[in-house]
Amino acid sequence: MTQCPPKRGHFDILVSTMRISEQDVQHLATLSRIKLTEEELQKFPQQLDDILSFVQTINEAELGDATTRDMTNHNTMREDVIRDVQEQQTIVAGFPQSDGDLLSVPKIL
Amino acid sequence: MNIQELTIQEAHSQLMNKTLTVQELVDACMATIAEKNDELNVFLEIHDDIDAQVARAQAMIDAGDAPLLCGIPCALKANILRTGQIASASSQILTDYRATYSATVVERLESQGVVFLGATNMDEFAMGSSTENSSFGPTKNPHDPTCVPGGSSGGSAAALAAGMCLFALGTDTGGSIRQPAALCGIVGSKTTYGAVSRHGAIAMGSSLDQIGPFAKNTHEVRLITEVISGKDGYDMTAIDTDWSKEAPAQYSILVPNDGLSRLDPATKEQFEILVQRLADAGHTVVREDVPMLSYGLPVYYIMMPAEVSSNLARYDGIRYGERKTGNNLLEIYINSRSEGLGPETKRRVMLGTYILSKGYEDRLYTGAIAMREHMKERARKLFEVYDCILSPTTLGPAFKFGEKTDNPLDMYAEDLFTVSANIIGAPAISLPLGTVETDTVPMPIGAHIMCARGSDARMFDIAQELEQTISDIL
Repeated sequence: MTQCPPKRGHFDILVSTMRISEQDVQHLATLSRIKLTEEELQKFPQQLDDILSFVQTINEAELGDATTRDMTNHNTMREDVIRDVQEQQTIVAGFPQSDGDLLSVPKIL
Repeated sequence: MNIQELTIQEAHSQLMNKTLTVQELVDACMATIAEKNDELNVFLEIHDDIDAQVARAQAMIDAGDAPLLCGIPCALKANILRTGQIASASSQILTDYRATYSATVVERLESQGVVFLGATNMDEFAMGSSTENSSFGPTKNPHDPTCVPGGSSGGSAAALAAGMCLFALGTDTGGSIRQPAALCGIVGSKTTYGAVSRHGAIAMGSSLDQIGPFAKNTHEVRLITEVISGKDGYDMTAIDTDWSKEAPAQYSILVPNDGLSRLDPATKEQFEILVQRLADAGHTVVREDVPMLSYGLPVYYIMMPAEVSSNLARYDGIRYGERKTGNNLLEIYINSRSEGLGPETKRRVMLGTYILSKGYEDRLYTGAIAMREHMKERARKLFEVYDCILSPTTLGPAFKFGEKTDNPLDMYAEDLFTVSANIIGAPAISLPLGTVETDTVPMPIGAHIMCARGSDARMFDIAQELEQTISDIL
């Protein structure tokens, strides 16, 4: 492995500036389409913060020059063959709400 | 009949020479399940077509020349799909979800006549190292029911260890086959990334996930792996493996110093005995710091949550699974997901959302990708010199329920020795390394080896050697 000076290029912002607040957690929950309980809203900021502090340790690594992606598989294709679909009834049976063979969804317009 | 001691080979011989029928073999497994499942909470579902599977397998045997796995009972982790059977991934959001197709690995095993018994418990959506994150209660370690079986494939490991089946399938994203294998005293392995098709495995971290087997010895694990592996038109990352590669008679082993200081003392002692014995047997053993490995966990906890947040976006209560009520579409999404997903799942989805969000993606995710490529390159160079990297599988034997649930980082550290194999896409295996004393009963631990990508056959050869050395010690 070539010895290089520590490369900080990927991590411009240091750990200390990443503090997760309750508002941040609430925002993330909204983006994730999740509603948190009171208990979760209290515990998560610290927990997420701890995890983020931990993963920042890769900041200290010497990365060397490996920037190319190693592609074992490239443009894997198969023949486009038509087959009979057997699964339709099982799929319809799994609909949370249905109208005959149709999936019922809330009105969006 | 003692299912806990019966090997697949012995079962096959008895089935072929008619001293055993498939029905009798399956009945013995079902009897154990009836006896122990209430206490251990291993199986979430028993498949509803076992009679038909038994009849089919018996017909294959009666026709003569049936394959080794014909009629052999298998436990399936709840995140591996089998048509018509409930696959919940141990999540409320998929409580009664019936698979609409079978995983490629399931189809391949079915063509051999394998009998699938049912779906085993797991950490919800494969997130965890103890099966405590299941929405349907934890599974107990068959060796000591006050201890966890490991995770996320805790149910599959426990099923085999408890004598409920002759082999089991799990998934491994950061160690979720190998770690429970170690804690339950059985063999569990993960192939080179892509060697086994992921089609039909409920996705967690798509660049990390692999389906793999649990069995009582390396030979069986290899045989099962050979059957399920190979290119698949439904998984563009699936590759063929050259199973003919052999390991040299004497091989060179790298034992990283990193992490050994964190080992439980009894585990460290047992591990050192193994290392010494290998050196005595003429293998080259080198001990070094391998800083590359210590980046495995942080890279994992950046990449995996990012992939999880993307993969779990599909659970919105609309097309399948549990839908909760709401006044509009957004409320249905939020209510379905909030009530359907457990705390660890929510934590990782939000972490992933953060990692991929505007302003942070470059700093975290892109950096992790760069680190991953660096690790692969570093590993490639190491494997030019060494045949395998040897470590214990875990920091110690199975821990008690609740011991690591307060701080997520405590649980994440369980993956210390296993996670790098997923990051670099390398094959890895955990073998039983006897037991260590605890304050209750002696509990199993495991030895772990990782080999170069694409060298799965060689890894199994080395593992079989290791297995022999271990049995000489014990």
